[in-house]
Amino acid sequence: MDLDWEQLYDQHAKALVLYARQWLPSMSDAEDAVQDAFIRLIKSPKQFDENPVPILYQAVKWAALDRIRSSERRQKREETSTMDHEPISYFEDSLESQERKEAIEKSLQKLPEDQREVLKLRVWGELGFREIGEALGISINTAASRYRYALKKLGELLDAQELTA
Amino acid sequence: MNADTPPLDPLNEREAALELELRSMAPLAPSSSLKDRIRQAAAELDSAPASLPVEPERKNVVEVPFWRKPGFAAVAAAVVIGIFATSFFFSPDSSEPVAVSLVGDPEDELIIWGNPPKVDPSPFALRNQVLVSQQNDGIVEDEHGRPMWKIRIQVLDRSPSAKSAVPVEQVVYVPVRHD
Repeated sequence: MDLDWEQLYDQHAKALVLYARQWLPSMSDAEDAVQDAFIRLIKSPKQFDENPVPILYQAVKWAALDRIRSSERRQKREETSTMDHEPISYFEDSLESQERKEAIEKSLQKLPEDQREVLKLRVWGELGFREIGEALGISINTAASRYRYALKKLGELLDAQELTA
Repeated sequence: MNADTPPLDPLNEREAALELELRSMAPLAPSSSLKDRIRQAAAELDSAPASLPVEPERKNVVEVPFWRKPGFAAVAAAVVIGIFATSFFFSPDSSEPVAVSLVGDPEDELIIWGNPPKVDPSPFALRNQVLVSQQNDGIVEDEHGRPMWKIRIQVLDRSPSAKSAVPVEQVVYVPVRHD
């Protein structure tokens, strides 16, 4: 198969980096994971037969987890996790409501990991539930229900933030 | 119904609004150099085979790159010989995976299965290594005349102690199963 990686990159780079940041909050680390995944795709296109998109996301996840493992070996990671403590910007600034954007980013970090990754794949990766299932090795029904739970939970987290604001 | 969507209750108004709001948010773009970095890394990998070590003619061993840690060759050879012995005596089913340690570390394994065999590219199995290519060169005979699959693989070492930024070719011999 003649695989046009540049076209895939143009279509998915933003969402892939966002997905990688689930495990690697730093933008540069996430970019490295995306780079690793693309190198893999370029060198082993047969692994990405037919629909390469789910496997590309899967490769990004593996690359991100691989990097976490490597850094754990080198140094016990600076601290437990930056995800719960540091504000992280995932999205372009919003002229209309910067506060709302930050509230969503904060709530996203609090979502259970399995729900958050399905949400990212569905909303920003624009993957179908079948593709999400392929990427994560779960059934289509599980993918769909995690998405529903994620939306519900995210709504609750946003409500809670509004109450405390 | 869309085959991609399982039968679910439709999103309620609130969920639908939140979904729309999320979709309207654009993730941060990666740095403009990322695409060039990928292109450059791919080009470096393309040019790598010219500098690969020459494959020796020895059989029934795992050829290891010179930069691997000391003692690895003995461990890897022992593992391959062990696999050979297991296959010879038990004739396992072709779907049963065979593990070959490449660095003498139980955590760093290639899983090889099938007849003809294939290397599992899973980075969970490869840990600090990335399998960039694999090529089955068919069946050769070992020094005792027994048939062995000859698999040529390229592995990129990403461990902290890696001494090469390009993939290194290794040859793995796996006994042909008597299914």
